[in-house]
Amino acid sequence: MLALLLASLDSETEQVKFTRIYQMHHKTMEAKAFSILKNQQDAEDAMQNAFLQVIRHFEKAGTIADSELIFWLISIVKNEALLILRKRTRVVPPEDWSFFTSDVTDYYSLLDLISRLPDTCRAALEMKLICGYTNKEIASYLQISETAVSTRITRAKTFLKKLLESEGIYP
Amino acid sequence: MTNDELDLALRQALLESLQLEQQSAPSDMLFSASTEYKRQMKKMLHNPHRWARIKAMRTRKYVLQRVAVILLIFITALAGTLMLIPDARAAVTRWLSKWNESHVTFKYTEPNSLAELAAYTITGLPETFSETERSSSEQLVSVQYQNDTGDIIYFSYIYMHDGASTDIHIDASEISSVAVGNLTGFFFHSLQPDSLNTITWIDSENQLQFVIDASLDISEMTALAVSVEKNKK
Repeated sequence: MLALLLASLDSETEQVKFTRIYQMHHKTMEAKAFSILKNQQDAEDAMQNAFLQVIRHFEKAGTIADSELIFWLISIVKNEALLILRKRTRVVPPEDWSFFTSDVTDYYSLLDLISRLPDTCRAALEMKLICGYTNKEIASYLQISETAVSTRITRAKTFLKKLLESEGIYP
Repeated sequence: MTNDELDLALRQALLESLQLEQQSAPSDMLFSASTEYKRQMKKMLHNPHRWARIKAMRTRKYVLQRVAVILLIFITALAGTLMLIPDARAAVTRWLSKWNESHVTFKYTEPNSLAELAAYTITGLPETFSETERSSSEQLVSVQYQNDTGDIIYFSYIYMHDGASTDIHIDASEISSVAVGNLTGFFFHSLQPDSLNTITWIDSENQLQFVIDASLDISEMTALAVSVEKNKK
């Protein structure tokens, strides 16, 4: 869609903030994009797409603590890179949930489990819980149906809730 | 644990998972920015708003490139009728040149007999939209409409003349058949973020193909298409 929600970047203060965010974090983001894509041109595309998302959702930056801002940015660029990767390979592997039988005994094993979630599932969770996107926005972004977004989020949350409660694991 | 508590706990876990990943990421991956990339970033920092608009317009160009696919479907759908209409069938063969799985190329070989391309306008624009730009050549007219919040509607039409060709790539879109008055057209709902939706239809009597790109839904786009009228002299 061409209609852009850029009103939040209209003021000079917000532009200064945007520049500061870029200067502080672009190298980390570039490294992330390149580590996923291993191709300079693709990594640059991912970065530009990521900043389009940042600009579009810039009002979210104001709601995120400074210490967490980098992970919001990494989440965005990582998912842009994965999107490019999926288009390049044109093959979407079936989601592997078998590792969900793994033992999770502490918080760090839970973090490890999260890092191994199927890509689209984790992307949907990150966009929902970190970026605050709606299911419709996530569906459009990941090019899957809203039902598929809802299914992925619900499935992951149900399982993780069970783990958190049964093991008494809390962040 | 309530749903809100769960969301908060998972959000924290997702953030920390990203942090762990980042700490363990290999440091030998070197991103070496190209000159063009540096130029883009400089433009972005100078004016993020404007940069984003230009990027979105490039997406529009990509969308426009898909139009020929619609034409192919249009032609295929009419294949039965075309068998009975020699002139129309001839027109189809003049358009359809090459087709494969990933892209399609159309060439039109009809002699150019048009003296001057008539002026057409969208008469049923949404509120606050007005024409901001119009460019025309002998066989192509492009019009841009914009509202006070910066949303844009692109309207273009082309005379299907000798030498016209389009080479496009096919990507994820939902395609619907639509009626534009008594003409048949197609609506492309783009599943790509940042892409505009497109409606196209062919006025075979005047040998014109119309295209509208906007971030509007199928009913709004169809209404725009129906409202297209030739300017009164």
